Amino acid sequence: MDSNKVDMFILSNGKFFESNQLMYVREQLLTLDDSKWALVQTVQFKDPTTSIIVSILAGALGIDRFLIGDTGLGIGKLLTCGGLGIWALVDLFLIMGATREKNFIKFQQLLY
Amino acid sequence: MGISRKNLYILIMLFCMVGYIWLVMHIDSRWVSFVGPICVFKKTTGIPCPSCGSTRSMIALIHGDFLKGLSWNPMGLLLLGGLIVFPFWLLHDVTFKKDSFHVFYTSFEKTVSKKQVAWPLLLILMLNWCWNIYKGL
Repeated sequence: MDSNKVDMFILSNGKFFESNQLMYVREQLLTLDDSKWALVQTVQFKDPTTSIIVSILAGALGIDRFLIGDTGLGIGKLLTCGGLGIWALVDLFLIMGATREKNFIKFQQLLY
Repeated sequence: MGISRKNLYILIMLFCMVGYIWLVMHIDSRWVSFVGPICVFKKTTGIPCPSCGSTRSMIALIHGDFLKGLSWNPMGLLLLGGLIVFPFWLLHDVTFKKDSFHVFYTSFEKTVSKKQVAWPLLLILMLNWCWNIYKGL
């Protein structure tokens, strides 16, 4: 794929990935066929900022985990009142990374 | 996609351990006042959260009072069931090198994510929450 397009993708979607994943994303996109550009461009990623806001407001109910697609963990968090409050607190720090990880998995599924 | 087998098993083991410690602390009356109510949601808003009362429910169930356990919070039954079943299930999987629990977990996640299942569950949860608030736990 054209490196201009790749740079455009990185610019607009860079915040959705971990910094160490960005190099991999870039390399993969460069080797990708041009016909996939439309598909790559239209994929919606989850915003880590949204998930941390949700985590602060409704973390004790597990809504943040439901939001990023971890339904099972969300139910666990909901049933235990945010893991006795401890898990809710820990998730405040983990949720942004978890969201970026989910985005990365989504991106990888896009390639194959 | 989803959580790996190893991480899931470690997480569930950790939960069960914390759950049992929590229960023991509440059965022994010396600890009850020390631990006290922990719910962040209730402390900030004053309204009980959907799972408030499940510890009391589990304690009642352990003492054999089934109806009282259900009337505190039916979620207690789910949690106690999980606490009893999951350690044995994990032990079985680890000793026989199988991943039946992981398979169950992923298929459970898939089923629950379906609209036809998710909405009724959410409705039940909301009704249970309303009941919690009505009871004033």
